[in-house]
Amino acid sequence: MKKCKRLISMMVLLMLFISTLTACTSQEPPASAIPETENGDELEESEESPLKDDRYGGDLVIATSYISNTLDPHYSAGATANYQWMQYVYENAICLGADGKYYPQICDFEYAEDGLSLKLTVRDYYFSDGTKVTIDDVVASFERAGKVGGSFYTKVMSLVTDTKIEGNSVTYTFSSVGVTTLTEIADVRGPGYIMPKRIIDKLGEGNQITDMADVIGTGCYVLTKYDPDVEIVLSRNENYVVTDFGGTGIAAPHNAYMDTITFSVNTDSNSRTAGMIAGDYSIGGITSDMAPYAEKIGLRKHLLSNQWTHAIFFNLSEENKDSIVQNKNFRKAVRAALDMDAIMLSIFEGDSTRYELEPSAIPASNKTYYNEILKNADYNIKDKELAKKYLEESGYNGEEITWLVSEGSAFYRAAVAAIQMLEDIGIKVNLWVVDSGSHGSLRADPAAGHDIGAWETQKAMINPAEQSSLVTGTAAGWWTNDTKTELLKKMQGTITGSEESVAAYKAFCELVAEEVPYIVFGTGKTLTYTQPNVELNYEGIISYYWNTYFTE
Amino acid sequence: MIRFIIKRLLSVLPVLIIVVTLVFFLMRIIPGDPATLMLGDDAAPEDILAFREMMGLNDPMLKQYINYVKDILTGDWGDSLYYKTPVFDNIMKRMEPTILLMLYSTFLSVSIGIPFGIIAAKRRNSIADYSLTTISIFGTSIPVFWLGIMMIYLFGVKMMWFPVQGYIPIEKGGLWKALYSLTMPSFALGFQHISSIARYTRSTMLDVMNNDYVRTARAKGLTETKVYYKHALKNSLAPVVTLVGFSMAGMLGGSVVTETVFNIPGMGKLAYDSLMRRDYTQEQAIILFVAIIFILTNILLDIIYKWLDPRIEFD
Repeated sequence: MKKCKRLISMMVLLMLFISTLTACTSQEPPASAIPETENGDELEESEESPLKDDRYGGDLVIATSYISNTLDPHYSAGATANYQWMQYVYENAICLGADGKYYPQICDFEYAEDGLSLKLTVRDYYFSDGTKVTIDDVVASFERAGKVGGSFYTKVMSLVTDTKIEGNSVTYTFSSVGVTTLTEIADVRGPGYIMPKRIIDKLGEGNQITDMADVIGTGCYVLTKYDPDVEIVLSRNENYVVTDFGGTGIAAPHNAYMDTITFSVNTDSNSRTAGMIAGDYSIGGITSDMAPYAEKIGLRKHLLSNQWTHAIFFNLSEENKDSIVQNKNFRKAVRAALDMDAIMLSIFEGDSTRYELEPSAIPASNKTYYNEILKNADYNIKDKELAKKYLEESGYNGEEITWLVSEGSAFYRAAVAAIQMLEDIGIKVNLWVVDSGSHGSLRADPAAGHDIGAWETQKAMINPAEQSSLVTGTAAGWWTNDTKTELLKKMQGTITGSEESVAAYKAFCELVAEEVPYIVFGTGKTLTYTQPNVELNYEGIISYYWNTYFTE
Repeated sequence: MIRFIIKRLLSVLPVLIIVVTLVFFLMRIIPGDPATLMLGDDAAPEDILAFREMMGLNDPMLKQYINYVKDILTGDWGDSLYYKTPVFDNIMKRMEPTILLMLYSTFLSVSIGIPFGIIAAKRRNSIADYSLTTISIFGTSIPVFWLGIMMIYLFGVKMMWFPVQGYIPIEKGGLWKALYSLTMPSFALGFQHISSIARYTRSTMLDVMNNDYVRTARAKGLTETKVYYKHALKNSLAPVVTLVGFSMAGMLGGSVVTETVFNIPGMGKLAYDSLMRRDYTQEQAIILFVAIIFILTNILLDIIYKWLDPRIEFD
């Protein structure tokens, strides 16, 4: 017994020795909580703010799982990893409010009623280095964003037939109506950001920004540290002048209350949760199992209605022509069998506050386009008898269909729930689970061997023609026919809000309800947590923290 | 000794060639297209094609392989597909926490494992021995990530002794703060190795204790402490050194999990992230780099053998 006591004492002493070696500094704040300058020095406490409002001041630390891969705004590819910080440093020519209206930002604008021209007039605006923005900067930025390719070329520059510069203005003439042109120019996610022409000239054709000194925008923050897989630090742009056009959401004044905003990269959800609980982060996610504890210790829960739809598509491509999913009645059988409530509950791990049973491609707040056609088309009817009737009509004879998902994801949870329902009506499903790295490219390959793929996409705010699931090959399961093409052409080629455009969208919804190329389960909300003293203060579907402040 | 080192280095060349070749082809065989992953779901097909062209991913695989080997031979490890920066620079940036984590874990596992092994051998079949055996079994059974998460909640969240995540670089906070931020990860990573080193030390000590020279030392009237620490320990350490060498290599692999759980921006996390986004060039470089480190560690171990046991000939 004495020997045992000695052994235990030795072990305790050894542990204490190791702890003492290092724990002497344990009362200091963790690394991520200490703001610092580019060279690693800790920032001095800011002097008394010249801004009277006591909301100014503080260092906001946001836990993020996204790793930025470029300093160049025109190469951002609309990726969250890039726009999550770029939207603070760069701004667009115009801005889209949470109310779905466009507002001036760097430029005043006049959009022709026929949608065939856009005049931009640069306002009295400055880059973060103090130089004035000129119309040449705007034109050069547009040209460069267009040359990089992608959406800015397709939706804006490919339509431009003439560019006329007069004084502080530029007028673009378009070959046809581009219903997504203004949205693309105003998209806070890029790539239509405005940067100085001299930087563009210095970089030359095809070269990206690699030097932080070249990251110069007009936004209310400037980039002070860029270590993409560790942290990205932004500091308030002291040259920024807050302007108010009466806009809402992103178009409302950018107050830049925080002295610094740090995006602290942490790709592990458990580690992010621990960081939130320990106070390392001001804003971040909490794993569902720890949510009750987090709320108990005072962390605030925020549900962001950012309009993400959760859906599946059927592989209707030529490569999958022998599959039963090509049969419309089979797809109707699937739709009739599904209990959307149960599926959405699985996706959101039992939290019923995090979703709505709403399958539309456009939010209900958009009075111009919203309709309930898909909601009334056998959506969430859970009718096994009807499903079996459709199945019989489809000629289904027990063959196995393959449902592709990525491991541990919302896609996986949805599939597990839905497959039970399909098996109840006699459909055999092979769940094909792959890693997240493989998932994206397998899903996008019509010959990969899947009959059903899963999809998440954000709703269009202004015009449903922006919705990728209506347009792109993958999201619509490579569904194509003459009627669809004709209707899409009408939707994309007529002025937003016009009778013709609304009628085309209505007819399109009827076609989807009848042909069922994809099934939307519902619309989700993003859950985030903040420390008790953080006031998020934003509205709209995209998060921004320039108006976020500490309450104490 | 120099001749020995040169011979060893030459003998590992085929190993490196096999590693380079296998990793190159295996990375490309697994599904997943870097262009699709990096440009996102909504990327236009023409953008994906242009990206693949720019990165040389549209070339036949054999041509890509030959180009890769040529570049490696000229010292150019290539640029990361994701970051567009030299892969070697990215590794160097991430080296500090990984190497420190490995050394700290090794220090913990050796400084705790060997004394535990000696105690267990000295008190064979006692409560102490049984307790240490139980701890060893527990140590080898529990996965690093589980232990890591448990430690985060106990010592980080509840007791607030250590930071729950992140790493404080030496440049920013000095060596002690760097070690402080790595204490929990190092213990989580090293715990399995503490157990195996303790078990191994115990059994080699017991073997050595039966040797004639130990009996002679006792017959000469030396104290037990002298017998154990001066005569038996050094001779029993040679096999333990082998285990420590393998443990260090294992820790490099284990750092992938540890760095992810504790959010340490090291090489392991870079390897995991690169694999997830199919950053071929970065992943190849990391594996090649780790292989080189492993080989150099083995050569170093051979030299330590010689120091521990002068009877061992380099040839």
